[in-house]
Formats: sequence, structure tokens, C-alpha cells
Amino acid sequence: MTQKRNLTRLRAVGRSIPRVDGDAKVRGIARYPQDRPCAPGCLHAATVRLPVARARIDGIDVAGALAIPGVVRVLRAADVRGTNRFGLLEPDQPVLVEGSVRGASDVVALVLAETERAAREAARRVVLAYTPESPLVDPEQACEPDAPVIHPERTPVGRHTNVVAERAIRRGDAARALGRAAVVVEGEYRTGWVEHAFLAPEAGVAERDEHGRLTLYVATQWPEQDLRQAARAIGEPVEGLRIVQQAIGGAFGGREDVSLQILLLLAAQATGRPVRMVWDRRESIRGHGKRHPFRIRHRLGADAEGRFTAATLDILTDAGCYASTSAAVLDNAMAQACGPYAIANVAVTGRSVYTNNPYTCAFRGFGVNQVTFAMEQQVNKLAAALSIDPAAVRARNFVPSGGKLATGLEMGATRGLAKTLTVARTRARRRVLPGATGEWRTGRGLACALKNVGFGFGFDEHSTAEVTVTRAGAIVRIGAAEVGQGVETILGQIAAETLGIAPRRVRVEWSDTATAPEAGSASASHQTFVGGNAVRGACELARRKVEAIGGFAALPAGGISTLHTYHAPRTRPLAARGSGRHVFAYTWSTCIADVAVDMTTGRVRVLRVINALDAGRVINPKLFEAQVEGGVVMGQGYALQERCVVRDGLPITTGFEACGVPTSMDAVTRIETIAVELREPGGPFGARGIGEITMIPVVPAITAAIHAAAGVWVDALPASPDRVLAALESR
Amino acid sequence: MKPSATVRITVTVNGRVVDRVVPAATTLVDLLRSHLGLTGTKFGCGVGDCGSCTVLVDDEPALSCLVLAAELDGRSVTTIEDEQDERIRRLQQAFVATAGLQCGFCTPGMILAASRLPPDADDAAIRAGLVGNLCRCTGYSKIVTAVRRAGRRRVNRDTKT
Amino acid sequence: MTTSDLPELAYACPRDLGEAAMAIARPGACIYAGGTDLLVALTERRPWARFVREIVDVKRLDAATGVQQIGERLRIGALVTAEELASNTLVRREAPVLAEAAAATAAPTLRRRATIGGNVTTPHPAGDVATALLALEATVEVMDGSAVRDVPIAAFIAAQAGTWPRQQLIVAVSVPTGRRGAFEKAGSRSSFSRSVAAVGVVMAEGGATVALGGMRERPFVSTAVAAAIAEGRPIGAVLAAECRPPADGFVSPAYRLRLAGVLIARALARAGRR
Repeated sequence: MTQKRNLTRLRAVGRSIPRVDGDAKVRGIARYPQDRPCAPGCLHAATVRLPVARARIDGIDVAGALAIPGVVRVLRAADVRGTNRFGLLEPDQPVLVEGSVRGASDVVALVLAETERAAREAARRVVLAYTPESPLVDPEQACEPDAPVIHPERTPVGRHTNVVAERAIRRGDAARALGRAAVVVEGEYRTGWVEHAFLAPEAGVAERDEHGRLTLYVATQWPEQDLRQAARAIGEPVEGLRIVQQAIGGAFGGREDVSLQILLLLAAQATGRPVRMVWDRRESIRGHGKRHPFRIRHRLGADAEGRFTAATLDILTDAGCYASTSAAVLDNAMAQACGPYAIANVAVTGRSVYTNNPYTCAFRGFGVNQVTFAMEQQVNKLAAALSIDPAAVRARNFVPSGGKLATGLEMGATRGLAKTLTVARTRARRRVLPGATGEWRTGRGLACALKNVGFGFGFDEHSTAEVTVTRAGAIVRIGAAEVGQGVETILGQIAAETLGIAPRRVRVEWSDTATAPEAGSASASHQTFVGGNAVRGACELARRKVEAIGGFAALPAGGISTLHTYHAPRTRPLAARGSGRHVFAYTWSTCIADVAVDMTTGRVRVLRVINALDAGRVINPKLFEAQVEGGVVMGQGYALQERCVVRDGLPITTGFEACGVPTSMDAVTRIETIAVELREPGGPFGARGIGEITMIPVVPAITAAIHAAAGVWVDALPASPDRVLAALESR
Repeated sequence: MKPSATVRITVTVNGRVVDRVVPAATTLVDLLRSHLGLTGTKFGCGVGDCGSCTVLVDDEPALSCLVLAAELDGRSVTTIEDEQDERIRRLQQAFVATAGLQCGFCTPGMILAASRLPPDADDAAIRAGLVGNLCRCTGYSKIVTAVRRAGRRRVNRDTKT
Repeated sequence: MTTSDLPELAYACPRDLGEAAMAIARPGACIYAGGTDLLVALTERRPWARFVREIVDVKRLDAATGVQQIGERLRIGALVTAEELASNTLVRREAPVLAEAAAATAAPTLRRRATIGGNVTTPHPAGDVATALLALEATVEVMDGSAVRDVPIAAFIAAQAGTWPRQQLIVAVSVPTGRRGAFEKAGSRSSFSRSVAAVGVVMAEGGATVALGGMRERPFVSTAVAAAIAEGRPIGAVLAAECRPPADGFVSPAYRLRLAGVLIARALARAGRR
């Protein structure tokens, strides 16, 4: 279909309208799950977990718990009426554990009581008899013959039952090409667990609505997927379940997996009463997944001019106690493991293994952060070895439009990548790096990154929007979760632009699965693209209907409604030759970071970050800039100070400070965002999705800057003061 | 003087006098959220690590998760729901105008903490004043901008009168 | 719809030292001042706080407030907050190591609640204010029955080792005036962070007093390190011998020791320049 309107003068898209949920949030009237009042007769739930990550449960004595006044019931595995298993890719996670505990997130029992205090007290009084077993904590040992088997019931998919996924990509002859390379850079890169640390801890209420549907008032990234898993687990038809989203206090991937949703629904089903549960911070950290630790052995070869000729990588990642989306994270990481470059000879092997460590899951970047850190560091080392400017090396090797990534993925237009490099460098030339003072040495570093938009890899990605247009304006219904990224506002702008009306006359309703069609997850930076196209399509249909009727003023009293489902372009699962279109869109970014390193303590301060991104058309410049700034600081934290420390399978960093979350004084104060707006052909008004790319190149830019300042490479994250100092001392 | 399992407090909350008997182990955040239904003040961690629960006690920012309701007898508390406080309102407008919020969970506490910073505080002083309030979404840049602008508007207003 | 997870407690608010003495003598009673440690410990069910059944709020005790110069000492009421210590003119002039420690600790809202008495008694390897007080060789005015005793702070802290309950009411802390000193700390992040290592250095005629936080179970004074400094010997080996850096999984003991050495050098340099 062709557009007849002149799109060069957009009136809603491209404007920095204030976010539509801002007023409610600043006034404190936006309701997060913890804010929902208790219905009459509401029960309170508290979980019972073991103080160890791996154990055989020999018995549970609930007499002491039941004796506490107000305690109504203690739910166990036997109370799960459906299949006591859920999971995003593999249903391997029990709602309530029986038999054996495998990891920190396991819940053994759920206490239900008339008051929160009674529930918590009773949970403490549940007596568990258990035999601790030695947890498998080292992923390198997960495939040893004598390694404990984490999921004995599972059909093995790889060399060992503990393998969640194994992949290999081979193109050309990497070993031979490395042998003939003029220079080979070799390194081993390690990253650790990181806690999402969204500010609102998990909370929710489950109760039957006026139609008898079991309804969850909760905050989640993918409500329909929660309900599908819940339906199977508690033995209810999915049509009998409903989610009404509350305000979501941050997500970053940490609300993609089920946390307390099924427990609440189970409790409401079992008791016939509303049930509420609120987690504190310590339970939140135990109860959801973590960013994947990666170990990457990396060899990169080039000719004397710095053209990459070969790369071999061996990737090992710790999936923890449950599969979650680890196989997809591995796919994503493998596919983008060699960055936005064309390399003829590549051998990448990867393995994701079960351990008794916390399960690892989606976290802003979905595996691309880790491989980008390694690859960009290798490129920077190579540039240093050849005395070639790091930007020039990259430009020499960028994959051309229509070409293939090193790992074989077919690309569309890639001009934006080089453009981000050019604009970032142009800006950086106008910014003077401060000189050394006292113990501080300064340095500047550069890195590039690409990130897929959308899940890709054969996943059927679609989003449906319904639009009702009346004389007063439009209501857009689409179940895209507003996690803070601004999607509710953005989709409204897209609708307004398409309908030719002012944004203030558009309302987006996203929170109720009973009325808002499924939009897919608020993940993979894809709601702007996939959700945006659904909204645009529905609005386009509505606009034509309005024109046919004779204009808005001629609409009937009830208005007109349209529905549109947008299917993202088909993609192919990852294959051994990695060939084909695995991802339907990419974003690119170049980051330049200035740091100062205290040479006596190893502390690193980030002085400035320049972040140039190809976002396609920016729908809302101010919200875009806000996302970028948030991503930069999250990247800074990941690079320098964030860690979730795990001991014997349990997280011991149980709070924000312990996890190293950046404060206002830690955060870099000068963040410059530059949008390169090369239109994404398939995106709504040419938009892409940028939620994740914002943090990805920040990490290697910082570690490159550390090298420039201090002369050391830190190949493990976080590049904390102790690691930097150790590197300085071993020079 | 005997210890008591409950305490009686008369406290002014957002300008209204409130009289309550509560268990001794009631924190201010419990009093506000559970007993008074004022859920604008958020519970982020319960241990003073995040600042989401920040309110004003006798006009000074305080972490309501670490103050016992028992201590509030005869005192005043201001929360995000206070619609009269000029400084809070100015900050609310500034936060929306500058995109100083995203998920919004830290925002009430952030605004309360910022509301008693000197209006002419520069960026470094603003960051130092807000170091106890964590934000995971914004990276703090636009928060600092919002606070600075709200302060400047007050300075401008004050110098005009 | 309660959200806090405190155990059941009783609350008492004594009006004077006599009532306070009676209150804290009751089994299960625990002194409550700023609450920044106690309420967290109660919420998290830390072992040392499990005995607590009764909160004794000491914030009405006038005897424990105020900063006064008395001869060549400053008397600082136990209830004086970190915020007051950081901004008080007398403290800043006469005991800069203490003002610096107080200013560097935590965050503004916590500093307005955290009391000097509380920091002396908190059972943590690091305690910024306690470290500074050790360097000053402060004395602690402690209620003992109906009398008040002066106890050197090092002895007071050592006597607490391994045991809680917090049943000794500190009324005031006394520090000498006119001592040059400096405080340095480093946390796991650059701001609003418990100290991984903290150093308080105070210069006196006999040489420097060096106190260390984060390097043993509680802050302590190291005469061996001070002696090495006075004799111009390198302190690395002495530090390693003196300290028992907690192996908490965050930071290696080796790094803690290196860090302490750097902080000592910085504190000495600044204290010497005062």
C-alpha cells in the first residue's frame, strides 16, 4: 500500500512530547503491584526456601507453621493441579519443588495466612528436613563424567545431560587462516553474574474477577506467556486467566521469566480467596534470574593492514539451575560473536550448561554484551599490535550493506554503522581529554556494536493492535508492557501520526489481557518495531475507513474499530553455517569513553561518554536520549562495579550496595547522545529499537580507555579497582 | 515508664492531623502505606539502600523504612501526595518536562529528597544530595537537570519578588 | 498491607538516664538511636539482633546531645549525628579526622540519623566514625548502673567483640582538641558504600596514631604500623601481619591490604599538611 500523505512533515513522530504516564508517576498515584489495596478476605503468601542451593528434601513439617494464629494453609508440590513445570523455552522449573532443590530460586512451600506478618512468621516456622548435596558451581566441570546431573529427567541434547544448548558455526578454514595471519591476538574473557536491580521488588495479587477469571495484578514483560505457563501448571484453561498489569518498576529482562505469578494463581485457585504477596529486596534477588556469566576464549587474526582474516571462539556460559532462555541467549551471542565485521574464516563453538548456580536469563543485551566486550577488546588489542588507529581498523572491516557477518548472518543496509563511527569521532575531536593529575591518568577508548532488534532465529514474532476511532480521538489497545522505556507514549505518537490527529487525543491501553491484544514481550528492543507496526497498520486501516465515511465528524457515535496483526519478517534458526537471515533488523552504535584511572588504587572514573546510535527514525527524541543515558550508566556499572557474588550456588550480594548499582555520584556526568537516523525500511516511520544497544559498546569503550590511560588490558568484568590494580602490578 | 507493644501517635501528615494506635514494630513506611493508604511512598528494599521510601519528617528528608512510627508523635510528615508543597510541585513539573523519570518507581523518593536541597545547588551538589536515592532507568542525567531547573525557577521567582 | 518485616517488638522511650538504665537492664532490651543498623539487623534477622524484644529509644536523653569544648577536649553527645559531626564548626576545627569520617559515610538521609554512639557499637568490620575515634584515642562515657565511667574506646570496642547485646548506654564521646588528622576510605563503589578499607590518622607529639577499619572484625589501632611509619620502614609487611582482612568474596585480602597502604599514605600526607 502506498502512502498518499506527505510524510516529510511529521507532526507527532519526532516530537519530544512528555511521556503520558509521567503525571501519575510524579504524583505518586501510578499503582505498582505493591500498591494495590487488599480485597476483603485477602490472604497473604510467603515462600519457604532452603538455605542451600542443592539438597534432597527428606521431609517437611508444617505443624509449627499451622499453629500460628491466622495461618490458613501451606501449599506444597502436591497441590499443583496441572503439570508442576514451567519455563520459557523448556518447562524444567517447578512451581513448588518436590524431591530436590536445584538452586536459589526454588520454592518448597507457600504459606497462606490472614496477615503478612503471620505468613512470614509461619514460613520461618516450617521445618525442613533436607540432605545438602555438593552443588555444581563451576560450569567448566558441568560436562565431566562425574558431574552432578542437574536435571536427570531431561533428554540430553549435547555431550552431557547438563548441556542446555550446544552450537557451532564454521565458515572457511579458521585454523589455517590463523596460521597464516600476520598477527594473531589471543585472549580469555570472563564476565560474571549481574543483578537486574530494578527498583520495584516483585509483588502481586491474584483474585477472581467478576467473570470468574483468575486475575493477576502484577508487573511483567510478557503477560500472555506468563498465562500460558500458568495455565499448564495449575490446570486451568488459559481463557480462564487474566493479567491486569500494574505500573512496572523497571524490568531490563528480569521480569521476562515467571517469578511469583504462578504461585499467586495457584494460591487463589486453591483457596478461592484473593492472595497477595510482596517480596523484599533479598527475596527479589533470590527469586529471579541473573545475567549470564560468559567465558570466551578468543583468537583473532589479521593481515598486516589490519583486515581480519580469521576468528576462533570458544564460548561457555552458565545457564544455572533452569534453562530459561539460555539457549536463545547462546544463539544470540554466537550469531553476533564476531561483531559487525566481515571475516571469511570463522569457527565459533558455544555451550550453555546447567549448574546449581542461580538461573540466568534475559538481561538487556541478551548475550551480545558479553561477546561484544570480548570482540571489541580483541579488535582494540589488534589495532594496538599493528599500530593502526582503532577506528580505522574497524572501518576497514565493517560488514558492507547486503553482506554477511563473520558468522554468516545476512545483513541488510549497514551504512549506519560507519556513520555512527564517523559522527562519534567527529564529536570526540571537539572534546579535549583532560590531562593527568596526581595519581590519575586519563585515556580515551572506542568500541562499536550491533544488536539484533527482535528475537529472530525463527521465532514467530507478531503483535496485534486494535484501534477504536471516535470523534473525540482514538483508543489503541495493544498489550505492550510499559516498563519505563516509554513504549506507551511512543505507540501513541505512531497512532497519532498515522491517524493525522494530535497525540493528546490518543490513549493507549496496554495493561489488560482481557482487552489488549497480545503484543509479544517487552524485550529484544522490539516493541517500537513490532508493536509500532501493529499500531500503524491498525491505524492505517482506521484512517482509510474514516476517509471513506467522510471524516471524523461523520463517524457514528460508537466510532469504528480496526484490528491489525503485524508479523515480523520470517527469520531462520541458527545453523552450523550460520547462513541466512536470522534477524530481521539491527541497530548499531559507536561509543567513545573518556576515563581517569587512579594508578595507586585501580579506581576508574568515567569522565565522558559519547554514544552515537543508528536508531532509525527517533520517535521521541527526549525519551530516546533518556533511554541512552540510562543504558550508558548501566553499561558503566557492568564495566566497572556491578557483580552478583554467588557462593555455593546462592547469591550473597543481597542488596543494591552489595551488587554495586551505580549512584548519582558514581554515574558519568557527561553523556552525549547522537542519533544517526537512517531509516529502517520495515520499521514504523523508519524506526528501529534501541533499548539494549545503549549499553553494549559502553563496556569495551571503557576498558579500552583504561588501557589508554593505564597501559593495561582488563579482560574480566567488572574491571573493578582490585582487578585494575592487579593488572597494573603484573605489568 | 513501661515498654508497650503498641504506641499512640498524633502526627501531621501532609497537613492533616492523624491520630493512630499502631504496633510498636511499625515503621513510618508501613504507617503511610498500610495504615493511611498513602501508597505514593514506595518500598524498594526496606533497609535504607535505595531511597525509594524517602519522605520529609519535620521538613527534612528521611528514609521512612528506617524510622519507627513511634518516633513521630507530635511531628509532621510530608509525602509525595502533599499537594500544597510548592517545591514538590515545581519538581514534579520539572521531572515531567525534562523526562527525568522512566519507570517512575524511584521518582517520589527522589522528588522528596530533592525538595530540600538548596535551590541554587549546582549539579555536583545535587548529585551529592541525591546519592542515597538510586535510579536504575535514567542514569541520573535528566534527574539532575530537572532538579536544577526546578531550583532555578524558584530562585528566579524569589529574586523577582 | 504491611511491608516492613520487623519482628514483634515493644517500645520504650525513657526521659532521663535513670529511666534509660532501668530500661536497658530488661531482658531483650536494645538501645535504639538512629536505627540505621538496628532496624536493618532486625529486618534481616541477623544473629546478633535475635535477642531483641524491646526497643529502647534513647533520643530524648538530653544528656547525650550537644558538642561542647571542655578544656582541651570536645565532649560529643552520643546522639550527635554524622551530619552534625560533619558540619559542626568545633568538630571540623578541633578534630578534622572525625568530621571527615562523618562526612564520608553513607548518604545524607542516613547521616542525619546515624549517631556517633551507634557507630561505636555497630558490629561491623568497618565503621567510619569509629575508626576516626580510635585514631583520636577517644574515651567513651558509658553508663554503668547509675554511674558513668570513662572507657578508652579501644578497650570498649574490644570488650564488645563477639558479644552483643547493645546494653551499655553510651552517653558521650570525648576527644582531644587540636589534633591534626585525616580520614580516608574506599568502598566497593565510589560513593554511598560501606568501607572496604578505612584509615584514620592523627598526629600527636609522639608520632602518628593509625586506626584501620575493614581490616579486622572491628576497627582497631595499629601501633605496629605507627611504629613502622615513625621509623621510616615500609608498612606493607607490617600491615599484612596486623590485619585479618575479611574474605567476603568481593575484594581479595591482598587488594584490601594494598588499598589500606595507599589510604594510610594519603591520610598521613594530608594530616601532616594541616
